[in-house]
Amino acid sequence: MNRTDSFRDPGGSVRITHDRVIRTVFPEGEPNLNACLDSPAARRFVEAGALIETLPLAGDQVEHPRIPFISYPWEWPPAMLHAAAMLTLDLGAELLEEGLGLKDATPSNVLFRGPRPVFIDILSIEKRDPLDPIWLADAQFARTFLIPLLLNRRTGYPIHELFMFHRDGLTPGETVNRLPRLRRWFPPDLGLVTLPARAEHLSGDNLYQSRRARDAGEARFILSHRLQALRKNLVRLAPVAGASAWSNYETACPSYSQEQQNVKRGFVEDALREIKPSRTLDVGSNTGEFSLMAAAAGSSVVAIDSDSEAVAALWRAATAAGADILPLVVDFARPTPAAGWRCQEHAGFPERCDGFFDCALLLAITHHLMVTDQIPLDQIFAAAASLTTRWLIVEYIGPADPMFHRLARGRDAMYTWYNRDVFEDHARRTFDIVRHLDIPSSDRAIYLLRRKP
Amino acid sequence: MIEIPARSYRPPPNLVLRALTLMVFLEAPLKAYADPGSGLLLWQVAGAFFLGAIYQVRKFFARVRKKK
Repeated sequence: MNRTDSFRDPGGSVRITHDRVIRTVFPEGEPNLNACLDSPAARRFVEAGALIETLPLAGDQVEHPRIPFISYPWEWPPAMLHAAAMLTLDLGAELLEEGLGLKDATPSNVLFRGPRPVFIDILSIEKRDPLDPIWLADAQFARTFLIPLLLNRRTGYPIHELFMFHRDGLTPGETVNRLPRLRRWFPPDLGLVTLPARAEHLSGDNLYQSRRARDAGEARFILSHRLQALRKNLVRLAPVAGASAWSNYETACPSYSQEQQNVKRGFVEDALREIKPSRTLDVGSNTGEFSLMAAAAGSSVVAIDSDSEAVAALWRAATAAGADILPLVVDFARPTPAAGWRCQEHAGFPERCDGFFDCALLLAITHHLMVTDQIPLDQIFAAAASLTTRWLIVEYIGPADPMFHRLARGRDAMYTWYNRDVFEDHARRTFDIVRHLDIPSSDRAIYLLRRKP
Repeated sequence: MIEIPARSYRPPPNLVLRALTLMVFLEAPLKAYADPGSGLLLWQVAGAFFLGAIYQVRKFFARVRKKK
């Protein structure tokens, strides 16, 4: 589908089709485009894969390569938001050396290519007044990067939920009372939230006047120190890898013996080697054992899980391994809805998946969907069929399984009808069963399915 | 029924921050694309004032050292 994905910038707009990204540059944005195209710093970032490539077309248009799968800040764990913030600051600092700057500083300027952040909004780059000592995007950087990271560090507030409803982040005034009473009087909370929140009452029209330093050296001195201070705060607010109910699941897996895990791994590895998927969606990926396996088999992987800590762990692993995996915080039973202006600005997760993947992995997830989320089995297979154009690797977990029993919490009688035959009957409505394997000494089995034409 | 008289909330004046705002040289209205904020902008302007002062003091002493 065609969608105007960016229309707020008076300098230009972006139209995305299924394989092309065309940016129309308005007269107001032309100087910024030229500043970006002529900048050696911007070229260095492009060569490093951290800034989107730009190909000038005829007239007022330029083309960018398509980032394969678009994700949004409300699908990122704190670690990915932190990486996007660091990229924004790095770019801002390098541009400053050339008399350029960023006119805005928001996570919306960044997408992820696999696990690596890419700055995509080239019209954000602008030529600075050499005597201007103020970075006007500073407050936006604080609202959309630093304050959400601070709030997450202090209270565990889920950042992805915040951005779903606060496009432009949180102001100091909206944040101050959420911080612990004593902690808010110490840095970095004090300078980032508490004092600016108090100062919100003091600002008048005089504040919104441009200010000029006495010489360009003074302006650059002030700005570079400001960027250093922001970086210092950002480093202090780096998310700490923590544990959650599911992020330790694969190492302390209570449902699988070593032998059973090896059988499951072997089946998935053989299947991936055989079908060679080009794009794989791993649903309920946890810390991504099978995502890494699919990436190693040459597939470009999007991995989703509702557990932010598990997603962050996979992002760190994929970054360290250089694996082509984009991990996202998405609850498959309640996926990211369409959002933004008229709910047409940002596509929902199911829409972005439509026709994109040729393989889906639903491993150790169907019992969660059936029991915890109370999704009927036919709905689960209908959703699975909408996720993949060809292959599905799915795990059956029956009512006799200890994890199924644990999730049922005394409601086992509701699932007496459920067994392997019922599972296979539902699977055959939309898929052909290529092969399956019983996990020894368990009520589990794993299937390779091919979608019916 | 007890009537509570309407009372507008007036924050306590922070004289230091007010003084800093007035001390900064003002020019034409700024051209911002992103919302520049209020408290955060004021905080940045105050920081810029102090940094500017440090820069000028350093420049002064650098000039004095050069003359010697």
